[in-house]
Amino acid sequence: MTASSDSPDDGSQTIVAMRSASFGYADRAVVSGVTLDIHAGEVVAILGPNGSGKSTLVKGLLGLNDHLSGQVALFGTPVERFRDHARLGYVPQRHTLSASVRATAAEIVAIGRLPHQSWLGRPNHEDQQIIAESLAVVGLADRANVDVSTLSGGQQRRVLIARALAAQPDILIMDEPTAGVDLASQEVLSQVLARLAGRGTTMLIVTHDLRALGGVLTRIVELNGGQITFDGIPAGHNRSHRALTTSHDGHHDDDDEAHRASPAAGPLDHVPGGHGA
Amino acid sequence: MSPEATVPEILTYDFMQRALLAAFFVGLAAPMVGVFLVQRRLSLIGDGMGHVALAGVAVGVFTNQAPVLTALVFAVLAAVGIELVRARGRTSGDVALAVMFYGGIALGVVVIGMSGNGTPTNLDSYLFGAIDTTTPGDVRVFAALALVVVALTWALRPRLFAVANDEEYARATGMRVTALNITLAVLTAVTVVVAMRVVGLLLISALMIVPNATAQLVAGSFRSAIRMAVIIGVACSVGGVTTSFYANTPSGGTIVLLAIALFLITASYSAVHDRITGRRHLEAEQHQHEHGPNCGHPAIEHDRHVDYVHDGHRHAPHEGHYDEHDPTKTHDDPVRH
Repeated sequence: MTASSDSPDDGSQTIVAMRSASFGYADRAVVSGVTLDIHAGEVVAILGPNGSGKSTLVKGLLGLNDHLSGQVALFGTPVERFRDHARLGYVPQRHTLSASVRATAAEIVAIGRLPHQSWLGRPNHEDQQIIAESLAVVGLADRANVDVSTLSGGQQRRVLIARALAAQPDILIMDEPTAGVDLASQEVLSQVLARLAGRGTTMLIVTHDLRALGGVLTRIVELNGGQITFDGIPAGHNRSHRALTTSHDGHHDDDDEAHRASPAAGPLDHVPGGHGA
Repeated sequence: MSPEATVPEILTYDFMQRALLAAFFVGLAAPMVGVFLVQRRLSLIGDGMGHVALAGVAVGVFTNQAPVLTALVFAVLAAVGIELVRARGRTSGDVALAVMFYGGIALGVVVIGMSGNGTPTNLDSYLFGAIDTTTPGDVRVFAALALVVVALTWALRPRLFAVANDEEYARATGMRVTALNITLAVLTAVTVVVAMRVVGLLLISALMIVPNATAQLVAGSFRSAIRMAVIIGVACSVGGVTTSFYANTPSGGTIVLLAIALFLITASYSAVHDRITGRRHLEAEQHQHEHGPNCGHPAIEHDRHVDYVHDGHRHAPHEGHYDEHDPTKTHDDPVRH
């Protein structure tokens, strides 16, 4: 009945578990009261307008801002004690990579291997192979030795995805991967995301634009004003979204009257395990 | 020591042997540390540390302590202070740094003037470098410090690169970003002190930055850029000291002028080179398609890159776009990469 139950529930691992979690900066909560579980194999979009707190939510998971209240567990470990950061593959929102010095795509992707290397270690044959594979997955195998600052915006975005993949994470956490890149790059990015989803990669994708994510998603979580206003399968989101627009333009192509009155209320029932634990 | 026929005159003087050794260490360490300052866009931070180190020198001269030691203490404290101010990320941080740097140089000038042996010449030798002032004890300390800087920088290189490239990502992967930044600042401070005698406190920053600026013009990767910058750094500092011996010029200024000359020559060369290759290479038509392993266009691998056959002509990936690889139809110059 819910998106998450499509993924194998038998022993399917809970990667992220949040109970009434609040995140923010210096005592000021930007996201509050979030209860959300993400299981292995899910491809979840965190949707919302600018300032809705979607980036704050994922940055909170990564320990990049302050966890103010509630419980957050990663792979079953409370976030305060979580040290296995390499399991979270972070793709930050960057319009361009720093161009202050030369660095090849392969050198940037090699950063992803650092959590697996000792202080005196250098990339060995296996690391090199993983770096090459990561670049191949994002379609940049032929640009491995090119200075990243000469690549297009979409290509740079894919270098950052490859860097996250090189860490061999159990979940990819992406902040606006398709924002601000040209149409051709957006198309390639969609293909890359579909390829990753096809390989069973768990993904948490912050976005304000669902078009580029097409059929990849298994679930949509919508944030508004720092709180979850929708959590369910993409089809359910379409329905509630259409209901919203029909009430404005008068078209009547939806049979569900309830959605029109309260577009956000119904689908909240889809929160997997939202009332448990 | 009497000059011998088999060795060049410059090596027959003890003070020149020491100066050349010290120059070698400085030329090695300064660009290695400096590349991360360039990467973090902190090219002028070494200059500020030099200012604070002068206060340390003055206190050493005044209290009859070894100036190298007191300078080291002051510079390292300044380094930690700078990073803590920066980590707090306040807009007033910029002003705080200015107060620290100018306070350092002002204190240095005043205290050195108060001490008995505070002659203007003495001050000059610290500010601009003087090859004949390096004592045997200094050389041993410089060698030890330079080795520590080189070894630590080499060991930390991948992580310093990661933090300077994307601090947020480094933090997300559990790297100790603040600790690494403080370490880099301390390495910079130690390099400033090592370079004090040869290049001088006001000019050392140039030897950290200029060789890297030159290397960035021609290198293709971060790795090769570091290697090139170290070679340029050693060549300029040893060459500068040698030149200053024969031309009877101050060593610090000579080293830095040499480094800048090399930078200007390289910059003009690469500008000319870019114009020529820019004219010779022909971009393919704009297309909304990106070639790849499964793009449907036959791929031809040759000369370390892949061409894709697209409507009868060949597209070669170049930077963010594609070049035409078969120029006969529209162009008569060969495509160069």
